[in-house]
Amino acid sequence: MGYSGARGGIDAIEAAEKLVRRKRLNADCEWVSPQQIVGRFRLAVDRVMGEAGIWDEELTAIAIRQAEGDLIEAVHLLRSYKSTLPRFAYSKPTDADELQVVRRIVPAFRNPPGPQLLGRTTDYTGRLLELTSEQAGQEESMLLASLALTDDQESLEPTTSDEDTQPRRLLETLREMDLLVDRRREDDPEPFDITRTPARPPASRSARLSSMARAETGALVNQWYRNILGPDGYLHEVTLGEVRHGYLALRIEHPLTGNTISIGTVRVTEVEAIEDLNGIDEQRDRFDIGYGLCLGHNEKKAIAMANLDIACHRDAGRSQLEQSLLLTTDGLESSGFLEHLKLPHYVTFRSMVERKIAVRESKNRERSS
Amino acid sequence: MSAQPIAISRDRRAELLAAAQPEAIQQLASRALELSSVSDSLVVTKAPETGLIMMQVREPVCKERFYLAEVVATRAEVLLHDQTGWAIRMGTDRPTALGAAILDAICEVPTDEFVEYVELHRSIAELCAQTIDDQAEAKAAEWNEISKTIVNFEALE
Amino acid sequence: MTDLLDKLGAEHEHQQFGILDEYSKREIRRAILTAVAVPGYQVPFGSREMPVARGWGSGGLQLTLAVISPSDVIKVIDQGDDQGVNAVNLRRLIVQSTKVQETTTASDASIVQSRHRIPEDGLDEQHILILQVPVPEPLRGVERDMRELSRMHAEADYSKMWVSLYEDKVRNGVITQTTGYPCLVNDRYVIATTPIPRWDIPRLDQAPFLTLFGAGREKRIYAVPPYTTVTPLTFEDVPFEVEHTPGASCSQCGSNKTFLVEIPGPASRWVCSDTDWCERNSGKTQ
Ligand SMILES: [Zn+2]
Repeated sequence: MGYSGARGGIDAIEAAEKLVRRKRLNADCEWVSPQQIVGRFRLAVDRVMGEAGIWDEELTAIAIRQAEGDLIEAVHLLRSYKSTLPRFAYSKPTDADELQVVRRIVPAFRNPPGPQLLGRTTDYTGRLLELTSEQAGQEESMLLASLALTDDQESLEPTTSDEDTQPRRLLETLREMDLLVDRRREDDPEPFDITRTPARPPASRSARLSSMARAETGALVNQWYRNILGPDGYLHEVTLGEVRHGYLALRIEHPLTGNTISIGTVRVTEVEAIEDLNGIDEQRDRFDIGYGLCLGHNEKKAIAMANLDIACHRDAGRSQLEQSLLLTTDGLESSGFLEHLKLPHYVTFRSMVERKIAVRESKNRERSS
Repeated sequence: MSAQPIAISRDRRAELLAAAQPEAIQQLASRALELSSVSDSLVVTKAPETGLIMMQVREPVCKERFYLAEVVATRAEVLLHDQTGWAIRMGTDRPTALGAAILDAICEVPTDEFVEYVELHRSIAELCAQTIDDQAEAKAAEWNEISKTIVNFEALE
Repeated sequence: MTDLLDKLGAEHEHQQFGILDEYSKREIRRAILTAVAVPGYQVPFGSREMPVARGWGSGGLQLTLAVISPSDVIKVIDQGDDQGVNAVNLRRLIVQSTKVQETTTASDASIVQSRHRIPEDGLDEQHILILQVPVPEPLRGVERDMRELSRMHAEADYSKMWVSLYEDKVRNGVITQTTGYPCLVNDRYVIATTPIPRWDIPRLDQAPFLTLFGAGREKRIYAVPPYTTVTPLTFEDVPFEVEHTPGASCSQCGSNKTFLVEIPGPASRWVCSDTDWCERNSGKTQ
């Protein structure tokens, strides 16, 4: 147990690190570039960006590659990288109404204002595993590439209108139909920054929205499902008003001119969930809306978020739903704590064994007296 | 580069230098650095630095603001003939951020004192125009594909 | 040409001391000051994500990185062992990112980061002990709702805790709380003593050193400042018991006055959990 034996600890750790590194870098197959990961595993990249709470596709691809595809591990790599970076600024607020859609569906109406734009979706495609040969796949890829070129030559004038790319949200329509509870605030409270102060119940709505926006997708989906079907049952099934995927502009203040400038866009998924109010203290002749917005294309997450947003608002602190949302949906926290069980626990276990014996002796004393 | 140079504000220039092709920026900046009146006077006041911008969104239900997530960006600042040049770009590309800051500074240097900057000003204006074209083209191309996925109800009836 | 831009930029780079950016360190230090000013109070802080997972010492690591300076000497232990795998990993991170000196001898260190133990000796007024905390809330076993928990602490209403200890005693004949024994600090706040064994509890009471508790996952910091009373919750007629196994002594150094852990097997034996203490003690007796 002397130093030399102990020295084995670091040697073994370093050997394990080398093993992982060698197997990862020197895998018996072709190298994968970050561009390939962004291009071919875009939804994994989007999901990790959302859960890490950080927008950068290339860094995310690098993280996914380093994590060998373990998405929560990739989130961890990005979050700890984030801790080393300075915070330049808070952006100027971008109004979600400015979202430039590349997909937009409105399940609540057949023919809503603005388009039902399916975009890039597999929602209505049979989930059949494509067992075409690698060669056939690559040939198809080349064919599609040449078709895209001829498409380009047609050089279609953009037929887009603002009505198509920035459709009015259904919420506005419902407001006009006088079917909505009006919750618009005039006081414009400062948002809660969950990266600087831990969000604890009772929390502001902005803290809940931020927490859900970077929650683990599976945790949020499960939170939703267990509240629909499980023992807690705080949730109504909603009707979706909007499901959108598109671009939002990032704006900051130009330090030299003091004016607001846009330095690029991020992609987001946005959901409006229409809630049927039936509580005794609620406006039962109106609907209310839950809101979901997260980075990237991640509809499952945004839908769960929107439904949980309105559920939490209606719950108004009566149950522990808010605590559950704020404290149990971060993927890093749950998986980190779960995995810490692998650490040595022999000091605590020794203490536990000692108490087992103490209880036994106490019982024996009781019996013999 | 074929786009006609355009006259733009400093703010718009910052937006376009944030979006322009990295190679184009680096090329122009390197060309500028070949001029001794650039390389001799240039001081990097803030080396390219990668950091985060917390993105703030106003949601539609309560018209409340909240923080969506942080965006990785890289910024730089230079001084050239008493003119400050500044740039920020999303991502981690440090040379391009620095290049953009240099181009920004060049645009601020008056050409009546530095005639050799006329050509550079023109090239930067071209780059900005090109970037506007590229953005419009990308959007049109994307819509060209997407618009076919709009459900046409009349056709169904 | 990229080289030129690269070079221009690189000339002005600086290396980050201790992983965290300066703003974060300052924020953590402020939380530490609050924790020291209000002994036992759990101060919320904006816990950063670290290169170690939540639950693996991310809280302790943030505390260490916030208080460390280049002249510090660091000792890191896990279960009392300097060479425990996680201790090795954390020490490596701290040393690599700060270039401070490392030691295994508590008295030579200025900062000791630990999981689950207080070193058997060597800590004095110049030391800071940093404990990694998995579960900072001592009352979680009796109350889950965080709003109610903060009320209970605010009003020093620990009745539920007392009831639960009483029920434990009645049901089992002894208080079965093992490690992380709940203690009253400065006669005001009840804290979770991380999971250090009961053995270490008396050594926290009126200790000359500052103890900082960091819970990274739960985003809280609390402290036991030097010379502060730390009283384990127990009843007048039920003495507080530390771990003890009659007849057990260390098979390396022969000690029976240290915290011992068992090495099971056909010929089960005991060793000190504080490996450095044991090694020094073995040296003396030989
Ligand atoms: Zn020993």
